[in-house]
Amino acid sequence: MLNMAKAVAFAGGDGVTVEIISPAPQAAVRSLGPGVTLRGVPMSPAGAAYGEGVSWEFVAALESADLIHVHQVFTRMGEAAAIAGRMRGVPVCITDHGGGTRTVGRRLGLVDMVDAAIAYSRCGATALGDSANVTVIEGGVDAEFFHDTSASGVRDRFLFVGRIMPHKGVDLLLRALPDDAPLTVAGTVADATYLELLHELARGHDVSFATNPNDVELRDLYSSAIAIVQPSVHIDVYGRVYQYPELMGLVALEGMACGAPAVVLRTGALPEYVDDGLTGFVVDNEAQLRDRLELLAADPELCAAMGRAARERVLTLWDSRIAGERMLRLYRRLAEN
Amino acid sequence: MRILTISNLYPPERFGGWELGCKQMVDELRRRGHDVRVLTSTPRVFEDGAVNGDVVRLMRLEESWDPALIGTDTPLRRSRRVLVEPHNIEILHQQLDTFEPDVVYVWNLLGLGALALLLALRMRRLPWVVHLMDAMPLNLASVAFGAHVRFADMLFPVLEGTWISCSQSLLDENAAANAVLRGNVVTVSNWISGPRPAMRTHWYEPGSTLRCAYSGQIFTPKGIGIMLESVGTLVAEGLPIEVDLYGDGLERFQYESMALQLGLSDVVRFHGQVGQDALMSALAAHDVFLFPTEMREPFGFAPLEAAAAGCVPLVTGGAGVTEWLVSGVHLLTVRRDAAHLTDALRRIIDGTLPLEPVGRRGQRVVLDDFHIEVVADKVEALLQAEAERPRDAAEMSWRDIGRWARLTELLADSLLAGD
Repeated sequence: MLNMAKAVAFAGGDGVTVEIISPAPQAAVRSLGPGVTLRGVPMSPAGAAYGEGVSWEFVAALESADLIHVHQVFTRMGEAAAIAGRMRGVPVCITDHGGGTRTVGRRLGLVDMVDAAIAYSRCGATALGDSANVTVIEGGVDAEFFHDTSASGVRDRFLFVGRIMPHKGVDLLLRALPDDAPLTVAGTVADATYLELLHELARGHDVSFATNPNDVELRDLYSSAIAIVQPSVHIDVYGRVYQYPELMGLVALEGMACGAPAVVLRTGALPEYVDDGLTGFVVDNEAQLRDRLELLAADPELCAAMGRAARERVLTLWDSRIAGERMLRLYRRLAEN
Repeated sequence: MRILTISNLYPPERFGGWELGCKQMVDELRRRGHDVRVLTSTPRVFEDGAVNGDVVRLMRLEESWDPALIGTDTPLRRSRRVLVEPHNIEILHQQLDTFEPDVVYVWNLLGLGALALLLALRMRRLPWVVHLMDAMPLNLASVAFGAHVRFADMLFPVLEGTWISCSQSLLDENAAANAVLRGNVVTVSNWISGPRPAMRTHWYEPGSTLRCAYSGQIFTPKGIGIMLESVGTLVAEGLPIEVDLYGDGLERFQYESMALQLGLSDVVRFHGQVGQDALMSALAAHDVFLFPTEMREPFGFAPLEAAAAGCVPLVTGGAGVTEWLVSGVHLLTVRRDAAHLTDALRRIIDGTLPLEPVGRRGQRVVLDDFHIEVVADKVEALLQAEAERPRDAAEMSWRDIGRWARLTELLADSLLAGD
């Protein structure tokens, strides 16, 4: 969302500003770059669980908005924001990033009640019910920032980036990891129990854990990766089912922008972004995953060729400047109507 | 014009003068040839006359006035009362489709899911005129509890239409509570209706029994206690005074008891609700109309009706009616306490405050300028202006309006459940 906000502001130049309204312990406004501000708004009730709180400060913030794009619309806050936007008579766009806590919006057909529903993948469009009101705007990765920074060109580790939680399938990756292949698992720990399991599975392998890397560190990790691996699963190690484990897969795109092939499971939106055999591999199971990892680890030339193709694909289709232009065109069309 | 009128209650179902005023104006507009349909709530007490082809009684009323409901209020009920009641959205939809009004004339919507109804009209781009006789916007915008008030804050500022207020003080009261009305905001006085009474020829003789009247709800904000205390003092002084109270209310029993305790049972009489003709006849037989109501009284019909009958209103200074009738010229004003009311009555009885000049001027001006036939000219013009305003296409389909209402209701329910 931040990438897209920056890209929209960039595409619009001086004539467009984007304000991101997001939960925060205290009200505050700060700049996130040219044309983009972050307005932190306290949630009510204080300390509300994810998706349960609502901030009413955003009503004032909407006063000057020409359009409102509600992300995570299937939450209380999302519903309230959509209602507020509709009441004000400004165009309302919605996006579902998964993990919503409310079902009423889906049941009532909120997707068709707003001016546009925006998905970041065809899978995302399906998750929204494949309505004619859904527009797919793929990508949105800053390929100018995310590029290969490795001076040596050495790529010697597989890489996983993402929140450490069961549906991300890191356990499957560890089981599929070739014996002598190093792996870095980078991300925010969202499930400590799951992390313990990963540590157990990592025993005997060359696995390092990087917690909360910043964007520069991430870029360096991508740049030294044999491949970025996104093994998200429909059924996690605990048997829980996820209909749409990934609605886009930004991490794969960032890695590809940095010249790393992407290896993904055929789940959610992930296959949409990987051209199997050209920019990476799409696999169906642990055995296939192990096979493709071994292939890449053993063939640096293949790895480099796929990496170049991957970056080229990102630059051509999914760079945030392209996505930002498309999004801004949609916004402008809605605002003019 | 085809005029759809919406009111939470409609006679014979009523709470106070607002609903009576609604019916009087509807009758007058019909008399002028307009096609007026009334949309209101299902009967509460099923009085005779409730079933009437011109009145559609289908809306669901979440009321708060019935004594049986005291103490049973919940955030969810408040939400349905003020914010949104999808059932009523659907009923409104049906009526708009079948009646196809040129303009919607909105009266008191409290209890009907008021904000969403107004919003639905806005979204359908239907012109509307709201007729305020009490602080509905304030109640909608600033009922101070939890998430509810936030919804009101969110919705209220987008409601733009024509707002008729019976007094400037009512507008000021709303504005002070942040319920700033947007659009065309005008003041139009209340009125008297029916045949104009004959000019009074016999006036109070000082020293004779002062016949006082009151009509309206029997409850504390109207100053019933102040009234009884004053009369008690004057009776104790041996001065000749009697009071007839017409109307009913939650606290009638309490004030009947108070009158008994003060030893006033011979001079204070509670008559209960009487018909309009009977009331006008009664007022014509009284000298002074006691109206020591709270200062925020937006207007009230009763003082006008009294003045029209030559019964001089003695009202709280600053109340809404004093914006229209001048103190000392058309009516008398008094500070709202028993001592000042007692003093004013004492001066009337001893002749130092003559009633005749005030009564004569008051009766003349009310009969000439405040009859519904005169006031309705203004209302009719405002309705006409709204009806003729160029209209955009509906902002969204009715199906979507219903869905937004339902989404809002369910979100409000989920938030208010934790209030």
